[in-house]
Amino acid sequence: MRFLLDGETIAIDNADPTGTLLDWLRYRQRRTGSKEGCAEGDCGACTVLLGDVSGDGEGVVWRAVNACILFLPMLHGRALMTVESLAKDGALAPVQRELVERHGSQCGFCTPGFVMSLHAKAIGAVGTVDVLVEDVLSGNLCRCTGYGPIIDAGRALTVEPRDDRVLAARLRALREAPLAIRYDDPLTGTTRQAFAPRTTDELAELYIAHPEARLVAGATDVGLWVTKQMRVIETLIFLGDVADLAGIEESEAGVTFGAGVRYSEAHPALTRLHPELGELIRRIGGTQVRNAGTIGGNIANGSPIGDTPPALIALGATVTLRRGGERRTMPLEAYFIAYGRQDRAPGEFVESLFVPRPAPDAVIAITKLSRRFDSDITAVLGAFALTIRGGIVAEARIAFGGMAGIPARAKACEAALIGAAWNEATVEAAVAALATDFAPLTDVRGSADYRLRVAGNLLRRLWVRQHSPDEPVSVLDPVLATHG
Amino acid sequence: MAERDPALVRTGVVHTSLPHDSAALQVAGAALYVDDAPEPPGLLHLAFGTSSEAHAGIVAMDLSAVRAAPGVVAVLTADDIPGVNDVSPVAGDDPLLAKGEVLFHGQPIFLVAATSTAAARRAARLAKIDYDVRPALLDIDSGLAAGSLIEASQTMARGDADAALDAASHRLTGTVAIGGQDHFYLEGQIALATPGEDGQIHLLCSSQHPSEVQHLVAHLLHLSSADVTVEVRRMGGAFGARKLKRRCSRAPARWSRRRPAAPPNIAATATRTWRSPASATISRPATMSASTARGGSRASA
Repeated sequence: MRFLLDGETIAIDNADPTGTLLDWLRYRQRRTGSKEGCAEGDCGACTVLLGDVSGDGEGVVWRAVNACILFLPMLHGRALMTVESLAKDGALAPVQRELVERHGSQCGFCTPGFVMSLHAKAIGAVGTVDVLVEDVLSGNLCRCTGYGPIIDAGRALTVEPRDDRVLAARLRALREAPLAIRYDDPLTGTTRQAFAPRTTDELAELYIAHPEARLVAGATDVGLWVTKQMRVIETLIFLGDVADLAGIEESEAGVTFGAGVRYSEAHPALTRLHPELGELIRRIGGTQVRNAGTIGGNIANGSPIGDTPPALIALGATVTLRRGGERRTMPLEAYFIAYGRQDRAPGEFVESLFVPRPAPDAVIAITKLSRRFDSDITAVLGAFALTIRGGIVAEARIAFGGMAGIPARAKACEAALIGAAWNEATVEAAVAALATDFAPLTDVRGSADYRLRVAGNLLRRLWVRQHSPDEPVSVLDPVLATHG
Repeated sequence: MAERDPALVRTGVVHTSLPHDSAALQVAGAALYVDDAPEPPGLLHLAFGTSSEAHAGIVAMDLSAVRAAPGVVAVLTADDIPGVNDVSPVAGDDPLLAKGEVLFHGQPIFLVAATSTAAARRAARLAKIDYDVRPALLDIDSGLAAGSLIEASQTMARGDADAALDAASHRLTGTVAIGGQDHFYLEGQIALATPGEDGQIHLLCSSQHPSEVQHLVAHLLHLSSADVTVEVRRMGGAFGARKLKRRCSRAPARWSRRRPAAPPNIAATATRTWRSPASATISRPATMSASTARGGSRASA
């Protein structure tokens, strides 16, 4: 595999397909500026920038990612920039100077990550344009109370896109045959293999031949299987190079997302579908996670607390699966059968997702509840799509995450609403019906009682917002950015 | 001070906002922390084998699968510690490696030395330990009910508070409860030990109290303090959690856990035992479960 580090070609022979970029940088290259704080994509101390050739072929599109959960093959054919790349001839880059002058570092361990996240903003990287500095830094933790000066440093930066024509030409020249790796691992006595197809057709063929393979898009989940659970994944198919899996098509009827579209790339189109969807994307992980994780991955892995499925289910999304040359399309809720089980055959993969455009009079509310605003795992996520005509609830689609073993519709709650007058008594009856729909678990993120109570409160909040628009129902100012 | 040091006056240090003296290195990624030091040849990588129980007797331990795992060089238990198996600063009640009994979930029981951190961590999971599980006290109420106190009660008094309260025209009662917290310094617990001449040990570690580490390591390894050199260049956050500051507890309760001196001690133990450089890089989950945290507290009046 080959990639560009500071513009120079790096070739790695016999790369471990689940070796992380951070370990390679720190222990093979002795580029120790990128730090390991958590090894699970949460703290951002390992933030680096990855570059792909832009659509017009003349530039490079950069995005900040966490090196600690980025597998080496995901670098193939890309450009890499680390904190060591910034200073030129001993002169610090503007972001570095701002941080020094504004006292933006104390212990300094998180600092290289902040430098890279802010440098991403300074060069107009994905997920930073017209975005608050606070959101750009949503995937970076500091514990020495340094956020104020760090944010000040970020606000002081001017955006100057790089002239990457030379780098883009080098990247184009680097495009070789699709990656295929075999790696003998002496530690586990296993042979690992990895593929990185370039087209959906190649992917379909490969997955039929290797139905045991683990498909990896952003590795924001699978990365932790390796770094935290020490799982051995023998066959991997990386999806990051499958160009026709990364398309977004907007129409009158709605938006079709390829399964490989990353959250940060989907963000503008989802915000145009409905601002609440945009707010939801803003709450998924941090910038680095949104720059790696994909819409398809969030569905395919079947998590009961994936953030997009409840919202997409409430909006009536459909998912298209493909196996070989065969495709089938189903309502998204039908894909989730039970905890750990999805309606997906061996060799079949999530190819695309269609989200219908909500009617202009649709009442939509999507709320994620978690202990932290940024970079946190959901306790309960409620998504409501109602149509109210003449004071009567004509339609209701309500879905929750964190309330069952799968993201699921609240059918009894919906039934209590549909056909009833839109008033407080109806809302209370629908809240009570949630106890019929769900028997949630107690875990570290919330007790069963807490989950059931806040699920009902989310519907009450929607009622208050509709009935008394002047009543404040949130202490948070939505930042709808300028995607609209 | 400014009067005594003309240089300070000349450079305008006083009342001037100066950059932190490591800032330029930190923003360039050039400030060196323990894990950034080049690895010495033959470095052993260490990992703890830890308790899966909050409170239990250790009935039997079978570490044969750990010893046989790929990359493993050796395994150490409490019996291999040449000196005093204790890393508490005062109370003498906090073993580096548990023996016979574990008092909290995640408590270190044995130590694996291997050719890589991954090999050590993977092997550490292979132990077969038979526990005699005992009741665990997981909150303040259960600790109080069982009479299991972290330390002997202390009374601070001045005057006759009871009489003054009885005579007071108003009396308020209430309770303040604060949940447990982890300090979450960004750099995990870490140390690198290298052997010197005549059995001496050099420790590069991330500690707020290097002299205490020196003394504890010397006691642990049955060395003179002069045989132990502790070097601390900088820390990636600490907040008190890298300093031994509280007496330790026999209370079998997770909320009373602490073990800040562990990485330098285990690295030094391994180096002493095998005469090889040894590095203990403790993972974030192990750092949070096996090292100092602030327990929950409650005050009533």
